[in-house]
Amino acid sequence: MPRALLARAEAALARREWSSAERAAEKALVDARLAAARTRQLKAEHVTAELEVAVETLRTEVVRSTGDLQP
Amino acid sequence: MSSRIRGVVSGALAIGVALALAGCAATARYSPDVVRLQDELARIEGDDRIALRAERELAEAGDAVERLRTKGRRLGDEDFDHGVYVAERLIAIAAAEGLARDAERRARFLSTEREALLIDARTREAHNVEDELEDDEE
Repeated sequence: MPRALLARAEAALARREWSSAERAAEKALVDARLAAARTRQLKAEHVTAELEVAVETLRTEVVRSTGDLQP
Repeated sequence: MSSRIRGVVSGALAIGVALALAGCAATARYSPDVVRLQDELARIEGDDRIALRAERELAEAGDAVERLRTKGRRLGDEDFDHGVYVAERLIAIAAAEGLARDAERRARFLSTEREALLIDARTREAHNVEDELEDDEE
């Protein structure tokens, strides 16, 4: 989507349609920023979910090993 | 004669008031789009994960919505629609940045906790081996 908008901005620029070019360029910019932010969000949430599972597994193991040690 | 003058004056005043009210109305644009953007902005501002971690992006989105509200009426339809598009994205950017930073903060916390649990587990394991060795010696 940002690439298509950028191409539209370039085409408008070539036709000397300044306002149209500016609008398309601004749309491309905010779309690219949004894509980057969403990618970062999804990646961070994925890492967090994996860590939650790993920590929960370790907690269970620690509790079990503590129980095993008790007479 | 004086009543006629009074009538003219009050008529002029009424026109003046009407024009002033029209002028006020012209400065703000409460289109359904602006109201929707204000609602969405208020919703994410109410989310601490976003409000505390995306202040700069929220301010940028707030400025865009406020510009549409105050200057929207002076814009042509094309420019207004463009402003709505940009404001929508800026709100979504603020939400995504805030949630990303919150998840990254939580990941750092969990990572530290995992390290502590691993050290704990290895220490216990070492003690167990030590105890077994001592038992064998006895």
